Amino acid sequence: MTNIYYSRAVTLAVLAAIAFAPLAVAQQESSGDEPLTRREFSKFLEEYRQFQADYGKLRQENEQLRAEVAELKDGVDSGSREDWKADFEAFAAQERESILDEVREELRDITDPLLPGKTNFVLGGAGVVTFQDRQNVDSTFGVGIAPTLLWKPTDRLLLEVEIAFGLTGDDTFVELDYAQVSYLLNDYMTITGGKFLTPFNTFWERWHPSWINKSATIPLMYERGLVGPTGLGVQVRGGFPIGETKLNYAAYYVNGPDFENTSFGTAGNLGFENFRDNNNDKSFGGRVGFLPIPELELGYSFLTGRVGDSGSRFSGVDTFIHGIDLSYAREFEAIKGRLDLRAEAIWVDTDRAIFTGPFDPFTFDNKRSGWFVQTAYRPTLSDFRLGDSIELKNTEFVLRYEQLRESGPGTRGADHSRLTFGINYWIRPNIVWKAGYSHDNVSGDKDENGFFMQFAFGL
Amino acid sequence: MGNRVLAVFLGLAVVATVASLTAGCQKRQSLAEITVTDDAGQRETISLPQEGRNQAGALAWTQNCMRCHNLRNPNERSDREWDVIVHHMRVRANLTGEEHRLIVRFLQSAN
Repeated sequence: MTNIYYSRAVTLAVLAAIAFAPLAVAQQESSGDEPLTRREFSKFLEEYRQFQADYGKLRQENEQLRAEVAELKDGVDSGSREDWKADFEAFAAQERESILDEVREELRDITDPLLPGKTNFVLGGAGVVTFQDRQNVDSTFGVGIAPTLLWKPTDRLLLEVEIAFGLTGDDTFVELDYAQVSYLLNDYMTITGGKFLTPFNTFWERWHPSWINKSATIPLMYERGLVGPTGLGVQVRGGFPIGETKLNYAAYYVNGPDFENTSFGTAGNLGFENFRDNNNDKSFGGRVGFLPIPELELGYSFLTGRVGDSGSRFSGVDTFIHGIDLSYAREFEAIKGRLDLRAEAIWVDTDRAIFTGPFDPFTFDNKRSGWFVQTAYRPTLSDFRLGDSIELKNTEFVLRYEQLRESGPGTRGADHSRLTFGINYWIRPNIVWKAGYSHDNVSGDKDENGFFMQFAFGL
Repeated sequence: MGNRVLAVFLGLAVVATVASLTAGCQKRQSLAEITVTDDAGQRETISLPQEGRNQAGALAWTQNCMRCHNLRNPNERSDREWDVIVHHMRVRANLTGEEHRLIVRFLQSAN
């Protein structure tokens, strides 16, 4: 407004100068030799009066503007300042919202694909091709591929399915390894339902995939089914820090194992593919893991329940299984590499029962146990190379010693021990070639010493 | 057999703890950098962050994941895929919510 005022003042000054200029010119001319004619004088007078009228009008406008400026100034100085401020803030807020809308739109284009939803899934899995040549058994190839689908519809919900395809004997098999739904209750607890890998010790749940299992064979106690790989039911699990240490846990309620009683060779064993439970009593199990330091985990597991078929003479047979596990992994500068130590043990105590034998009824103290210690060393800090492509740091040496003690008729009561030595070459962190040799010692039965090779990958 | 096995486990645990605590006084190369292999089979050394939340994420990543398997190259998966995969591993390996968030954040920043 001040600018307008000054602009008007300058305009008035210019107009005044122009208005009086003809009179000055006329006076100059009149002072000359040529006299001013009446006509010229009338013209100048007319122009003068016109300018005078314009001047008066501009002056009036100028006064009016002065008054308006004074009024505005009074308004700013008085209570209207708040109105101005409010108007300005409203305008600024509107502009800010408009800019934020544009930014939000751009961010949405970036973040939408990251949000959970119908398209938020991952395809993973594992595959393995094995060749083994064991004493007293025909050598053979084997193959298995298990695609895994992970789907995260919301931030708390996760659906997981793994289906295994493979060959066994003369048949092709397709098996649902696991199918589970998990819901994150809070930072320290997750609830899971479905068919899940059993959190008993850690082999089945964490180490059984061929690209994670450092040996081409699985430990004897799992091969012979002391504990099965999966359970069908519900579980709660999680972990929480305790100072510098950490505790994790899992508790589950599942269909539980069933009791083998129809065959002489397997009488007293437990079966873990009990998808339609054989009795009304479900099994309860759990595991507690403790990490005194981040590299070391110690665990205790148990599983208990009724295993006999309801309505049969075995309906009162119960079992109690418990186990311990240890895992340790760390890279040491002193040995230029990583040391990986894993050990587990299981004890199975099932009620004594009387079975129908081929000739006479028989019974035995139905206890089974097994344990293994496995150590692996990989010189990850070594720079030694053989040619352009083979690096010592990709080579891993594995040694496993294990024992199994079973009770039962005939040779099933024999002690079984096995020493396995293996060399792995890691092509990539998830692709490995394994070669190894197992030395068996089965008291009272044929040994199954043998070589094996395996190619395994994980996605 | 039970007592013998328990003795073996106890011995292993004690030896492992002592070894870790002794080595803990030394500089840990594994936390400064990690060598991984990309999809083309080329080895790549990733310098791990040494401060801030991503340092905590890198530490949680190495300590939890390496206990069972080799560390995977963060470049193998997209941000969205790591979000799903680490959620899966949270359930499988009993990670806490904080460990879950730290590892996701680190992997998404390093891929």
